[in-house]
Amino acid sequence: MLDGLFKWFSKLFKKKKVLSLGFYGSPNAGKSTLANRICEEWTGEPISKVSEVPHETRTVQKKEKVVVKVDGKELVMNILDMPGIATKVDYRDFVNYGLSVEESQQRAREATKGIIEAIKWLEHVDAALVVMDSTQDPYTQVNITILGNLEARNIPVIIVANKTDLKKSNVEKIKEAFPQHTIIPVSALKGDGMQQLYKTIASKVK
Amino acid sequence: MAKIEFISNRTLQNLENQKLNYILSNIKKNKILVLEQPLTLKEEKELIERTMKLISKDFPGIEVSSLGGGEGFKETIIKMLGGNVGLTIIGPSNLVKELKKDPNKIYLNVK
Repeated sequence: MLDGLFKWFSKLFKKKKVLSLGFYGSPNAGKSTLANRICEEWTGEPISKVSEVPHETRTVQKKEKVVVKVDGKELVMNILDMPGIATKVDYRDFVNYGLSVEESQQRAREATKGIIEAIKWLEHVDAALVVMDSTQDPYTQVNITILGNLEARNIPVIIVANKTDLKKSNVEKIKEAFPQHTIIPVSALKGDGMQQLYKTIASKVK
Repeated sequence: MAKIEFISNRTLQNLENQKLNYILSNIKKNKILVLEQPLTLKEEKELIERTMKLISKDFPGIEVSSLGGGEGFKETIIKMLGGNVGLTIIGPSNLVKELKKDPNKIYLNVK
């Protein structure tokens, strides 16, 4: 009787586990668009600014305690939208998008700091969405390095094959490159594939 | 003119924890390096981090690609016996336009 009462009280006051979900990938893969889609659907507010200029997200963007309901269950997540990881940051690339030289150099400096921050977070997330642009070659060393380092820490990973709304999208190429991983085709822009993504996150972290 | 330096497994082993310093100082001298022993995933992660700290107007970063380099039991035994399990190619991005990879080949395009 006492034991039952204790369990009832424990359940009542037990803190719900909050999952830290990191969004990883190369610049312009659509991480912020996806993070915004999830945050807007479940909190009504976006998390990050999006732009076609690479490295728009230059610091880790956080949205805490986002409650997602999947098949009658609640998943509480801290969403962490990471800066895109790259092996090079050339300020001249930003100049080509119309930014001044000074603005471009400042953006490059901030982007390098953001990449270091994103790499440091690899060790602290509970689960990760590795977002890939399905119109681009997925077999890059950056994608391999991100996936390998997450795997080495036994962090659950889902590959999001984003931009399926575009004609050049080739999800099969991502499946061929990473056959050992769960791959969910999504258009973060249009909202296609989101239910499947929520179900997969719930099944991976239970 | 592109300079390519092939670095033996023995040299890499002798470098121990100075390996990434050696790689980055040579990349900054505008050399393309071919490592007889591929970098581990942890080393690649650290290489990206350290590259970011060096980026400037004149050094926009690196291109890197590895073949093989698995970290399973088989690869560990081969490495312990002094064997090779792949290779890594690294170059400065102002010299290397692209390192394109498929599972068994790396294509190097120089500017």
